[in-house]
Amino acid sequence: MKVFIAVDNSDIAENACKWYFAKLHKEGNEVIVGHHADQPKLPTMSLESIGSFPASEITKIMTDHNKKLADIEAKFTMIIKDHSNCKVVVQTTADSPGHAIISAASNADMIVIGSRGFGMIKRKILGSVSDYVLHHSNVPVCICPL
Amino acid sequence: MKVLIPVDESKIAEKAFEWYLQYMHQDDNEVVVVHMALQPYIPLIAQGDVMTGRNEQISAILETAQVKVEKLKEKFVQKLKERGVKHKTFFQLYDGQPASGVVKVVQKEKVDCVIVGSRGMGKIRRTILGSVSNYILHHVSVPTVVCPV
Repeated sequence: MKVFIAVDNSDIAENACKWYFAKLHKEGNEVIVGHHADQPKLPTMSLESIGSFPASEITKIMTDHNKKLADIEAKFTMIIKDHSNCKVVVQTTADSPGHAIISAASNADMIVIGSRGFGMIKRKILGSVSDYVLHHSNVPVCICPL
Repeated sequence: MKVLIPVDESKIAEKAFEWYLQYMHQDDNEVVVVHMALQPYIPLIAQGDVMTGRNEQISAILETAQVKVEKLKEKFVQKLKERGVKHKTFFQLYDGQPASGVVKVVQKEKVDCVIVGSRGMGKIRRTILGSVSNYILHHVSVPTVVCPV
């Protein structure tokens, strides 16, 4: 079975991934752990030196963004390292996260996703991305409220 | 791992059940199959004799409903036995909302995971998630796999 685990940097995503490998994973399953990050908002005008191209600010934003992605990649690579047939894919996308997940999981047999990510509302309600994925997926979606 | 699968007479429930067995089942999993049937409609006005006829009528209605539940249970138990799956069943007429009955079993049996179809018997496709599936998804604190149509 091909499984796509949609993650972000939240604890819920990490727990969902670990739970999958502890309880659901079967030898022979192909697993992709995917993070599709929003493009960071880049300034068009510099605040340091008014009128000039904001090169240093853009560089800083991109460096921070890439560092966050690298951290996520490292974190999940550690979790999957003992399992064969698994890989971590971290990308920046112009798409909405929900749409990117559905596209990336298009040939998966199941999607695993946390019930929330970083949302402020902590009641038992689905986060916006999880809700989108649940409503647009053609394959079973495993919602992990951990 | 203990897995709970709520079912009804719909094809979606059967599909979700089969999907679980094909893709997710592991030999040491225990499967709990649950069906909370709605109480059958018992009319207020009896046919024929008002006093004795009514009791007989009620028994007949309840018995028909019970037979239907048993038949559904047999269908799933047979599949489980064929594959040698360790299982437990809760098939009954439930006094109350089926969804809350299912959630009670989830909590009592301390299951690890719930597999549910996105919809069941509802004919009108107003929302993506049927009312029972929606209730279950929001009220259990274990991972839930929602199987679309």
